[in-house]
Amino acid sequence: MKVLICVEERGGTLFNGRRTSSDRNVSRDMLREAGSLLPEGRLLSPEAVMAEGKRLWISPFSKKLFRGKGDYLVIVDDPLQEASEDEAHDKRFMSGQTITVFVEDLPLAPYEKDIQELVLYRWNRTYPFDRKLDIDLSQYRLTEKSELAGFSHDIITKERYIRKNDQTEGTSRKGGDEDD
Amino acid sequence: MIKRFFIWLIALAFLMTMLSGCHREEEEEGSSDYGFSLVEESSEQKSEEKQESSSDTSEEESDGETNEPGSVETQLEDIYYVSPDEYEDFGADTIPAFAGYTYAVIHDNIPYFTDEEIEEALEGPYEDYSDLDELDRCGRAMASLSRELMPTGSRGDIYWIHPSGWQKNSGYERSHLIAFQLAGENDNERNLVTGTHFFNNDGMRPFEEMVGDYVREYNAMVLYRVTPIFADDELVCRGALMEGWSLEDGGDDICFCVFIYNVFDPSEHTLIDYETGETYEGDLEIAVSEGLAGGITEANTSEKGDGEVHVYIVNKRSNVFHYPDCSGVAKMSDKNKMRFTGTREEAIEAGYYPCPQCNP
Repeated sequence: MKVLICVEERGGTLFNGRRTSSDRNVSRDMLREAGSLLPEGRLLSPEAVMAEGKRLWISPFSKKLFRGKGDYLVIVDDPLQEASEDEAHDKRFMSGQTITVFVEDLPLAPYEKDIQELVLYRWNRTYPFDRKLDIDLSQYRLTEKSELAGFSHDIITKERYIRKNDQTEGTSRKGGDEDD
Repeated sequence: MIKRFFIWLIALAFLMTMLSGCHREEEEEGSSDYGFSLVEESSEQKSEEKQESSSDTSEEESDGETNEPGSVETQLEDIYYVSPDEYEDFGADTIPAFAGYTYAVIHDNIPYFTDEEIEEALEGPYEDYSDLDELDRCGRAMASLSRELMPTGSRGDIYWIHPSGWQKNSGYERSHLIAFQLAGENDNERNLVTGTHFFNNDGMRPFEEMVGDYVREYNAMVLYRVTPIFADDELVCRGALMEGWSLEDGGDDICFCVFIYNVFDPSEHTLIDYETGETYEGDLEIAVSEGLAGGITEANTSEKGDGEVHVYIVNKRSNVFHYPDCSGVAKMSDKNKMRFTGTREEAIEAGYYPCPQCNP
């Protein structure tokens, strides 16, 4: 499972039950991460997205950020739980494909064992927060860091992590991806 | 068949309730690590608390749901205090005890705006600043924020403004009530107060950034009010009440009501003489307990202790202690409650702050 999450400067995610921030360019990049938005900026057809399993999984809380993109989403109450169950099922009976989940209002820790890849969008701002990222990033290896121009934010930093004890880490290292 | 299914469902729900109750009791026992005696709640007390909780408005109940999205790690969970019901009643004597954070949540994080104020704000952007009072102090600043009000250029100099209580070379910052980035007011003396970096940058700025980015992202409107709170004739404010409410979606995206403390960072060991603005060396925690920083409540300033042993309820997060029948206890989550048996003096010595509302 690939998990996407947005954090403010100190790791905060929510304040008073509300997201601390949003940016349409990040929402768009999330569809790219799910595979439904091609690198040249063109969206796959809804049929292709459905057939290839490239929809982004979210909870109803995040729906507002993807207005008009319903065909590219799987909206379920607990996307982490359902995606991890779905992946487990697929691995046993089918070829298996990584599901991309965007999380705002749910804890990550209970599903940490199922997270193969974590993509962190840093707002590079300090916002008030009363909920924060609940996993220890030192258990992950940073494999990629890039910058994204936001619509309402100057620069958003995007970081890609792989779990240190994940088997996929070995594959990544063979590829010479040593940047931490 | 259907009837049997429902009976089975009810039995399952009952079993789940019993299990969750056991879990809560385990957590309560765990709090004995703090070294104070824990006593069992009587069934009568439990019933009273339940009644008080259920008398809350439905609005508060629904907010409670959105405020607890699962078990995500919390930073400031339950730093909630009993607040006045009316905006006009919020003053230096109702400021919550400083608990080490830059801000305290007021009025369940719901701004005090009236329906009329919201309707007026929806008519279009505006900004309104109170006249300076007879001591040249600022009053509340209010705006219906939108992109139209935001500045297009960079901020100019404001060094020539000397807000009330301003002292040169004392480590103060000229603090905008409504940030320049939100309404473009640069050197408006009715919008500038004497504040610390802890107040201006660490306290106010995160809320300003959150509101500013939201307005820019959605081209949306936010009703916004900042009220500096002065005690008596003091020239430096004890802090500011900040309120924000996203207008078009009825507060779905932006909704807050917080008090930001105007104190130096506790690690600086610098205190403010709020009457004059002069600064001096000292311990913030002691100053707070003596009413010389944070709020000036009777609980903070009086020598009230009767030397008798009481049972108090301590909020483990905020370290504020209450009488068991204080309405603040009803709003506290069970996992943050801890019973403390001792005198008022012993509670304060143990590092707890008396609740400004029930004044134990």
